[in-house]
Amino acid sequence: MLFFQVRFCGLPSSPRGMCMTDYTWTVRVERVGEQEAKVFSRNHVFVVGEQASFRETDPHPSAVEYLLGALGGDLLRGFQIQAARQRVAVDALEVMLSGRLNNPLSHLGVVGEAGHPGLESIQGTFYVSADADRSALEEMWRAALERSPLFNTLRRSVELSLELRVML
Amino acid sequence: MGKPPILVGAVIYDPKVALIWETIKNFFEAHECPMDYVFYSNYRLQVDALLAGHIHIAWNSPLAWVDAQRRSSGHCRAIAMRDTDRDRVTHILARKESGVRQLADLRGKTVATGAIDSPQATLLPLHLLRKQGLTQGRDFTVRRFDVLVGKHGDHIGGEREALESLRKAESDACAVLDLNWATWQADGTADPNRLAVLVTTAPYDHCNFTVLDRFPPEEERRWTRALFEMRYDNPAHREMMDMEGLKAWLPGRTTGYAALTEAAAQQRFFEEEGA
Repeated sequence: MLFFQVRFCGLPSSPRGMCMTDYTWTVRVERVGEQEAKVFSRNHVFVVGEQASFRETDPHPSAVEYLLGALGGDLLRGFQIQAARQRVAVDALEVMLSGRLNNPLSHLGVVGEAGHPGLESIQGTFYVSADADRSALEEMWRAALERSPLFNTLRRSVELSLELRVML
Repeated sequence: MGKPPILVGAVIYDPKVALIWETIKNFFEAHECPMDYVFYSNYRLQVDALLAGHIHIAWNSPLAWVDAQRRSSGHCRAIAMRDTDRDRVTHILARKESGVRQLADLRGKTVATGAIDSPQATLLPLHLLRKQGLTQGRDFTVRRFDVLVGKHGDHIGGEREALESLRKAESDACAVLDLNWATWQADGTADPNRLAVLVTTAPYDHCNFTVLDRFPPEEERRWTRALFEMRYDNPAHREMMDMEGLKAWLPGRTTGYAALTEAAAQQRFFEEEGA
């Protein structure tokens, strides 16, 4: 089953921007157990466990971890595209991300707790080892951030602090 | 629709504590005694909820037990507790090289305590000193470490900061629960070669599961029967029991709260709290 949809905006300049086409990605999520949900996305299937997990181990990643993983994947892939454009050979890329909820106890429904269960901040380090000088890599990083769908979504609501670290 | 679950209140300060309660809930479900938990950010709210009938059972700190008894005019029962809740003591420690060797040496000195509402690290040790003729403010100064007030010292942060203050010679003595003293000696947080126990309180009891008198006895029996079936030698139960720090659940008893009741009254704790 194909869930990827393409829809035309109708106007050359929509309130959302200058796009001529408005793409919508759709996923279908199905309950498959007490503590898991299966996500069907185009030709892929993956399982989400808890909303946010406080255990050491779990059968599946939590929704919060998928969000962090998705951001990391977005940034990594975005950087790779920039490097390819500049014809820079990349030896290694890695990103480490940590997210904090505003108040995890609110997520657990603790009576009397203030705050909210949303993400408060995401901190991360992007490690790159490539055949280019630092300023070129910084320019690629800036371009990757500028074009990242998830970075540009999250930075509007979450305190995002990302650092580029060039490895020799 | 089966029987409605018995609602148990608990104060939590760390999301990991919720995992303990999830395990307890599953255990009770498996023993055909459905229960659910309601979490509170502080004991004041939990006692309010117990007295208002919003929950059936409250996992109360010793001070919350004293408060519930006070506010219900003695109409509460303690139905169960951990083996480790019985006969706890608090030590007042001093540095060996400081010259503080007996209680009288604390005159003019600084005693570090935990949070204002910590029975083990503030109320009971200050009560002991008072009974030994040392009054706070007159004979010695209290340096209090108010970490997570409202949680009655459940969080050991205040106690640990008090110990740290003693270690750094910013205070001359500090109060710690016996279990924490043992743990901190074992893990190297405290050096028994440099610190010594100056005085120890009489044994007292810690947490209990509290119900109002009107909680039906048959429900109580059903719930405690399931609780007492938890066994430390059963691997399925052990992890939760380790996390909650017990080897066996025991019937509740109320003989171990006299000193705290006295301490709270003498220190006007509930009046100061505005309750």
